[in-house]
Amino acid sequence: MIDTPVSPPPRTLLQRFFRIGADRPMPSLAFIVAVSLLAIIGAGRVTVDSGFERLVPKDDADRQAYLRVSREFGSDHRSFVYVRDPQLWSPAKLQALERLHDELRQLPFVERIDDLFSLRTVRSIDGRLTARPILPSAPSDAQSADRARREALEDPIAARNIISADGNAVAIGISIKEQAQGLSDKDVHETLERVLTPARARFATLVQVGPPRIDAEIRESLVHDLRVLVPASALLLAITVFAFFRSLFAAAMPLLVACLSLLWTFGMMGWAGIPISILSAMLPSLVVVIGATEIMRMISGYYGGLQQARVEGKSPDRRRATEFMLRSVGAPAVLTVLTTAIGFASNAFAGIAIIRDFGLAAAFAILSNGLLTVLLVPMLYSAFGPLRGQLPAFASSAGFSVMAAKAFGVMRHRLSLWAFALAAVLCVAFVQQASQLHVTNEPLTFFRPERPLVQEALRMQQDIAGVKIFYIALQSNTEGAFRDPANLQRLADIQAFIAKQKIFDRSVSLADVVSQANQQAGGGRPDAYRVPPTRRLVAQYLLLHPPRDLEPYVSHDYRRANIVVRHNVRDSSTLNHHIRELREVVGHFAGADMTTAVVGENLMINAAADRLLEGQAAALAGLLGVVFLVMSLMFTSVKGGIIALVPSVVPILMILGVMRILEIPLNAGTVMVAVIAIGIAIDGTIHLFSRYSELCRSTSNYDEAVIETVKDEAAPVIAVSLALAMGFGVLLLSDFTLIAQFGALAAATMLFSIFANLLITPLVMSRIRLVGLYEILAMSKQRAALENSALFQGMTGYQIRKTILISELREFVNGERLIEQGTIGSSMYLVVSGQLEVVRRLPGGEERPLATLGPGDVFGEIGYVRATQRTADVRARGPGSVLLFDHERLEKDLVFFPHIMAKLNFNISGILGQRLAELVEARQPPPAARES
Amino acid sequence: MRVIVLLTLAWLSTGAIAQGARELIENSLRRHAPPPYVYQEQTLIITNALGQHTVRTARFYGRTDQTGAKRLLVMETPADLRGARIFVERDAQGERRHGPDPSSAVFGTDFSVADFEGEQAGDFAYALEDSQDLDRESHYVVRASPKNEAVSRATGYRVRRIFLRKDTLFVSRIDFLDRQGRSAKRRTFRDPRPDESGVWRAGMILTEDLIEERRTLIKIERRVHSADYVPDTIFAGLR
Repeated sequence: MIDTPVSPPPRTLLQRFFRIGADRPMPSLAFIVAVSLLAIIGAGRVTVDSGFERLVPKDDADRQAYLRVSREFGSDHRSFVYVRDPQLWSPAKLQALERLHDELRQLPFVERIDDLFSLRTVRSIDGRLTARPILPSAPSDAQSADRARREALEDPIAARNIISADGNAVAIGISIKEQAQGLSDKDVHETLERVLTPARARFATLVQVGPPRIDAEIRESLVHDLRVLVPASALLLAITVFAFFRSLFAAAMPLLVACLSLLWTFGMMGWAGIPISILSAMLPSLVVVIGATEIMRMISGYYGGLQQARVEGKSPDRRRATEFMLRSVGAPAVLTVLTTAIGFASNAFAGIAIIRDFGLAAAFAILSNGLLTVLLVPMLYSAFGPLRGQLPAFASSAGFSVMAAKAFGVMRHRLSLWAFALAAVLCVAFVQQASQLHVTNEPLTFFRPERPLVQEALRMQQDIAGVKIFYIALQSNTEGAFRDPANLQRLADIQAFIAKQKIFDRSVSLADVVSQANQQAGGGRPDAYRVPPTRRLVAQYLLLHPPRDLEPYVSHDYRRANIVVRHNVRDSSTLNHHIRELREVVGHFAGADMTTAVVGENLMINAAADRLLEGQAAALAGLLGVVFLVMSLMFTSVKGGIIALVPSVVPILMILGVMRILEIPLNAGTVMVAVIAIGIAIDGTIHLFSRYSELCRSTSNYDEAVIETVKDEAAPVIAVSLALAMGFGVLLLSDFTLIAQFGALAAATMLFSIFANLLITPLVMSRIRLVGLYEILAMSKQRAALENSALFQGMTGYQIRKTILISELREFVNGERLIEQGTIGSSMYLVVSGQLEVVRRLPGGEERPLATLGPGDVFGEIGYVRATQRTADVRARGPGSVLLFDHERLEKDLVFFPHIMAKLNFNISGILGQRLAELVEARQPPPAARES
Repeated sequence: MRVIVLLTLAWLSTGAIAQGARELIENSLRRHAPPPYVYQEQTLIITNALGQHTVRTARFYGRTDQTGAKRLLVMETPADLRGARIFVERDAQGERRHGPDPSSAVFGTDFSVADFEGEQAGDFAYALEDSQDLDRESHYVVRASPKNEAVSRATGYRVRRIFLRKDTLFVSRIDFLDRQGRSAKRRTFRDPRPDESGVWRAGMILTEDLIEERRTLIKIERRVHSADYVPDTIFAGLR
């Protein structure tokens, strides 16, 4: 007989890593301080970028065409001043308007102004045609003002372009120079505001609408969000943690970790040149919320340690409680952090700078939060942790567990099929709904609809025309092509189609310029508003205008023409659809001899919505693939990998359906819900699977294991999901619609994941048995012993692994009796590690040792062949593990593997033969058998 | 009493300067007045903010006789503009005018019809400013302001600063100021050469839009001062 000393199993690399903070506090602290100092320097370099450039993919195919067209025909980066006043056409108001025009004209970044004082149209004066501004100067008397109003309203180019149908509202279009000497949109907005502020007193309404204001308001809201969301998230977290643990120390812990990880993240952003953008407003809340869950699990572990000491009647000890804490973190925690980080990092595929940068920053934040949690929490708790306290309410609460187990029980027994059918129908319905989801990347939709900016843009559109502009450029190879009436008619035809589309507000082209002149030549008759019939007439009409008037519409050599289109379409799907249609029509009208381009900054931004969707689909597929691979490997089961996708896929499908029903568009914020939610929700799944796998090791009844799993995990899954939902709910306070929508949807996903994790997944899970990777790894240490075992003689590696997976791994402690003499059993055992002794109890209480078993030895094989009474005890001598083979299950599970079954049976018969031979040999001396 | 005397002197001196400015302008107009018959072949080069050029050619006819002054500009190229024309006529007293709106553009250039007609000194008030050197030549600087809003509206002119060479009273440059007093446009008269009568004439006139960064250059390719080139019949039926 061999005696082996009982020693604690060696620590794995992961366990050693988790212990760094507690075991080496000073180097850990020095590391944290050094990185934080570096981060402080980096954070000082962080910039804010709210420009639209970051919403457009750098490799957009239309970008070059857009740059060429906007360079030639002027920037579409245009701000509008919208003025409305019932007395607008009084001399005093018009003089104020003229002063405003002059002041705006003086601004250094202004490329051109389009308004009543600059828009030149042709007039017939004393029978002579002359081009002059609609208002050459402000009229000095009421009569002149009235006449000017009449003329302006009659002007077909001015109407619904710079003046409303009732004449009480006008727009001043301000084109901003492309290279405005390093001026940001914010600077432009502020300068414009300085000019507009004194003029506001003179008009009922005077507002600025356009990209500079949008940019400025994005910045303003960003600051608001950071001011509101950070304290709100922190407060919520502190209250939640305090409510669970009744400890200020515990409440401070996640805050400290979150603050440091945010500092590191902003430091990294500074060093890596990643600017703060609209999505960055989400970072603090995400880090606070996501990071807190693992910290709460760890603190629970600590309190569990204190409780254990109390149960054992020992005095509470920080070191011992920290040991408990460290035991509570393991591979699931690492996997959770990694999958969440991968979830965020997968946004790098979006191709849009703002999302890519956010994804990378968030992934870094999650990783640094994980690292800081591992370093700081055990370190601080082992040094200063409280010595009194209880397990958190959620861990000891039976309410959730009982409720969830009951609900699951009802579903499993009575509604199993119905539940599957309902889930399947819901998924199909939601997939169908999701296919009709609207996608938008339009900056104005970032804001809440009731915001003045959005309202004013809408009002201007209703009164005059939308603030957004795009260009339709046609290019011919012939010089002077657009002095040809036939080509001008093509422009007019395209404009007629645009009017028919009824989606864009207004279009103006060279065809309008000559048509308007033709109308004046025709005495102002409405039917004379058409492209003149001869080239000569066209040329003469065009000569009436100074070059600057024609610059937005035609190139200097008349080879290229441009149609300026204004709109206020807020939905990218609608816009993209109509633009695709328009492109086809433009190509058709332009003919084969011309090249065409439909371009604009807002078109590129909206077109990026499609990229947004494609990028997220790729990210989603990638992440689901990662989850599948990780879970398949972790639980060595493809089925397990597939089932692990259930709690991820079901909530996502549900949320997409909800988005469709509530008409929430997919945008830069909401599009990330899916990948981020998977990353976070997988935490619950991993814990669920780990527990189930653990329970499967000790029972052959999977149903019981599932119910037990639901009971055990219900409270933490519900508590963590609720905490996460509340954390995401904080984002509803955001100034940005897209962040509020993200928060609401992410919160809803967390709630849906409770349903998926506790009801749907267990239903599917109960049909398979999971074996954890670490169990297989543990067995691999005894690989040689196992492979040389008589049970696996002549079997391939694959056959051995398959057989092992069907068995149950059972761990035992010193003195544990695995087989009891006199009982009936049908299981066979294979020793994986440790030592066991076979002892026969004789009448009178005497014990006779029969044999000592070690790794690779088989026992209980006769019971396996035919259930029979055990003739000896098998007891553990120290801790170890065995593989348990149940006859029925092996037969059932290996029904599709007859070769393995045949070999196994052959080997068992070999073992039995060997036993028989030993028995015969041993007949002479006193009988000795391992088992009979 | 002393104050009154000083104010009176100041007023008188201002008037003297104003008078001096007008005299300078009138002298300049007299000295450099176009001959009665002018025929020019011109090339118009229009350059936009991107530096793209558009080239056109035109013929100019000017005739001044007892009936008044007639000016005619006729496009030669490009082909589809051939024959397009601008005709302006004023009676001898300068009271009646016939022609397009003076503020309208000349064939899509940065020149207006008012530029084409020449300085109408009666419509403006002149004031002398501090002299300036241009190309190392000393110049008088005369500030020309429309006499009233109607003139300003009709011509499109606001305040102009006219630079006259001190030695010849030749107008070298005109700065056109906008409502805010900024230099919005600048016209320079280049390559001045004396004609057969010894009068200085610019070989090129460049107008630059300083705000929108455009330029129009009129290059006089050929100049003939002969009645044979400007027969009265050429203006027949143009009214």
